Amino acid sequence: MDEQNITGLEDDIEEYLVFTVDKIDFGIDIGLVQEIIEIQPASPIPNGLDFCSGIINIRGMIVPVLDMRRKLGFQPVEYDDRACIIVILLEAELVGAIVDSVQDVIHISARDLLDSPAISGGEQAYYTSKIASIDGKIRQILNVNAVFDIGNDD
Amino acid sequence: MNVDESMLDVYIYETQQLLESLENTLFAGENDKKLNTEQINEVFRIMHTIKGASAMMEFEHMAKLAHSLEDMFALIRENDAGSYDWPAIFDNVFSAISFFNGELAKLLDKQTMDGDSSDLIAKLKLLVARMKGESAAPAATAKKEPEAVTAETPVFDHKGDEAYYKVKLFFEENSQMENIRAFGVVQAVRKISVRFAHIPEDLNGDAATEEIRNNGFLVFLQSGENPDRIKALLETTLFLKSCSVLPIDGDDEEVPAAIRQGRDTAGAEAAHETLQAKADDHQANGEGGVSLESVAKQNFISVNVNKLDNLLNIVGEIVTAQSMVINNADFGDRQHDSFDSAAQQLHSLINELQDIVMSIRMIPVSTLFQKMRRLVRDMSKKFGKQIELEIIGEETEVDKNVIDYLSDPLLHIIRNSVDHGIEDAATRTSNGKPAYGKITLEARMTGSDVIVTITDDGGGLSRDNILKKASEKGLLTKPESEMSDKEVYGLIFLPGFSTKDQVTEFSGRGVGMDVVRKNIGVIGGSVTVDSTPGMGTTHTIRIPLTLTIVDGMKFNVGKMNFIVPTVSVRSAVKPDVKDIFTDPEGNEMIMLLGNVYSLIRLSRFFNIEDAVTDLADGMVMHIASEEREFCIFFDHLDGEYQVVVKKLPNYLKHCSSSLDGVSGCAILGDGSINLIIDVNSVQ
Repeated sequence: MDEQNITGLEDDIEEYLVFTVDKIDFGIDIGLVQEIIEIQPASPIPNGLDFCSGIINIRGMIVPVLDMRRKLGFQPVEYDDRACIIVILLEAELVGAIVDSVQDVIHISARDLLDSPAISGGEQAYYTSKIASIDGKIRQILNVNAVFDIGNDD
Repeated sequence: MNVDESMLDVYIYETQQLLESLENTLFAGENDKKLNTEQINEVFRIMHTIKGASAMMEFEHMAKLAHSLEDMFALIRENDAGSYDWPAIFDNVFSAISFFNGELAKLLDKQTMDGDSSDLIAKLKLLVARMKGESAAPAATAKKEPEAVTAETPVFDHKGDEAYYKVKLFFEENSQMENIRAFGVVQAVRKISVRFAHIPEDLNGDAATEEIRNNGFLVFLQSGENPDRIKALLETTLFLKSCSVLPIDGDDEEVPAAIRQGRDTAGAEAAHETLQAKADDHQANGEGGVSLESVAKQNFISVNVNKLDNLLNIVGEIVTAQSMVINNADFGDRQHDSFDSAAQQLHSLINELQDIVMSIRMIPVSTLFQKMRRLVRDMSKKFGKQIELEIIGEETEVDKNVIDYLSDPLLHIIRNSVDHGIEDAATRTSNGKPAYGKITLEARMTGSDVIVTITDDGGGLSRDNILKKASEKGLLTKPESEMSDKEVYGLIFLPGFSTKDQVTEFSGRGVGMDVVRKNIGVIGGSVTVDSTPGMGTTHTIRIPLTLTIVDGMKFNVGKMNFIVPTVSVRSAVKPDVKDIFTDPEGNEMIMLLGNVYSLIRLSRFFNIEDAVTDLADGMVMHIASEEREFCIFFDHLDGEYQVVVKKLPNYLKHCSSSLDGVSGCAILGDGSINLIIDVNSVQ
């Protein structure tokens, strides 16, 4: 591979945090992730929607937590100690997402990312924007705007 | 403009303060139709300071206007018993204040100050000319007065045997404004020397300050006084660190040419004038007791509000952290006497700290109310109505934010009252009312709210006119006959409603009372209107105190923990099931101490599934807000806590179908999150 190609590649590489929900690997842009904390009981909120587990206290900040299984349309389970909360920064506020487990941080170059095939595949297809195949494993990249429902209401 | 930002800020802030106190002085005087000696001096002093400061900042047009006013008051000061055209004087000074404020606003918005003060100056000149004509006697002296500073040249009493001295002065470090202090020295030296020169020659600006700070202030003078007296005189200078007076030979080459050639320092006079103004002020501050005003001023500093916000947040965290430490589970149930007493001390100190921080952000509404005085004055002149504004409770303190949001609604309501509410004198007299209309502006504090009422004794709202207008605009949602007066009056708050057909300068610009309601809503307040035809109208604005730390009662419903502000709680009891009954519409009621209140089950209101449903197993809390009294039914009372109120995250609205009834949340010492109940919206 010549030098030009390598630099070209480096420019397009992005980092994703890979996590699992119901045995499926998802990726989320690492730039959005603030921290990963262990799962903790959330305080319920009034009239809470089913995908919202409630609110938790992170160092004095009130953070709403979403259950990714419910949000992405999977069967809810009792979470074990591998489960954790990915805390992301959305519009200057923190929001938590409960996932089954966190795997790894991977580098994906732009040309390995494919547009999500437009199959009417239920909730999770709607919530994925791209698909990457790395080492024979499929990773679906989360469409954060769709999952967290921002910018398309009010 | 190569003025540095902070200086500009200080200039704007100080000038605004001065204008404000000027306005207050004028109002005080206007009641007596004239200013007394003290007030005249005050106005003169303020104008002098504004002139100096504006010239320093190179705002020529401001300085000139201030100068004209100063001229006028100098004239008045000479003969304060004279008869003057006071109404014209007041009008002109008020216009000048508006001009200054307008220009300052432009400055704040980083716009060019393009106002033209020449009109105002011309008017003032005319007024001064007329005054001189009317009272010829003081005219001669008054003419001299404004020029006094420049005319003050040293009195030469040249005996020919004056010696040359070299004086070197150092000011204490951190004494600030060395150039102005140096100017004070120059003034002192002027009196005792035949001629003198100083280095740096130009005392204006930071460069001079810097030089004096580093190299000292050097004065060469020729004087008949002996060196000890010179030294003694100069040593009275404030903040002086060291002072040396050395006799030198007049032909010493160190001596500046200026002195040798016999030139006095008239060249620097122009610069001195601006410094004089600042120095005057400074002297007043430094030596104290000259005027109460200037002494009081020194006790205030202006602070960026963001810093206060941060401070408030930190104190909130400290309160939480304190209770985490004191109630720490690691201590178990054992007794720790010395720890407990230390903890108690910490607790009371933190409480005190918290009170202080809260009070810092609180400012009295007086400034805001005084602004209204000006508005009523200007408008009643304009409309030819006679209106008196009565202000009650101006010492009431509210959070700074509240002042900012209250200003526009108040302006609007008062404009309405003057324009639409108060009738003209003829109509009033024929209706058997005093010719003078009256508007009352009142602020008072209840436990959890500040209430501002604006009452006028005008014609009141016309039910028929409002209904007619509303139906024209298609704003009616139910038959006219079914609407109560209160509902009809409420229509004026609807967007697009404006009762006046003609647009006037002051009110009725299409934006109406709906904007008032919106602005008040931003800070969580409400506004209502009530009126008696022929007798007047009352607007009531209710604003919650933005207290971020509150005392609250903690209780739970199912798994949810709630806090209700203690000020709203009347009592909490285990209910007697016999006292609870259901009305024909299915609403539960409870009889408490002979009164019947509606009973709201929070589990139903918030849709909580795992809550206590049997009335015998839960508890009832009697809650009273300004608007209503009711009871809530919940599971278990936990006790009273002091909590820091936190805003609900914005994102939470994506997570819940309705957050009604919750105004915020609080983190307790154990880290648990509690929801704070908004007692006005639980139903």
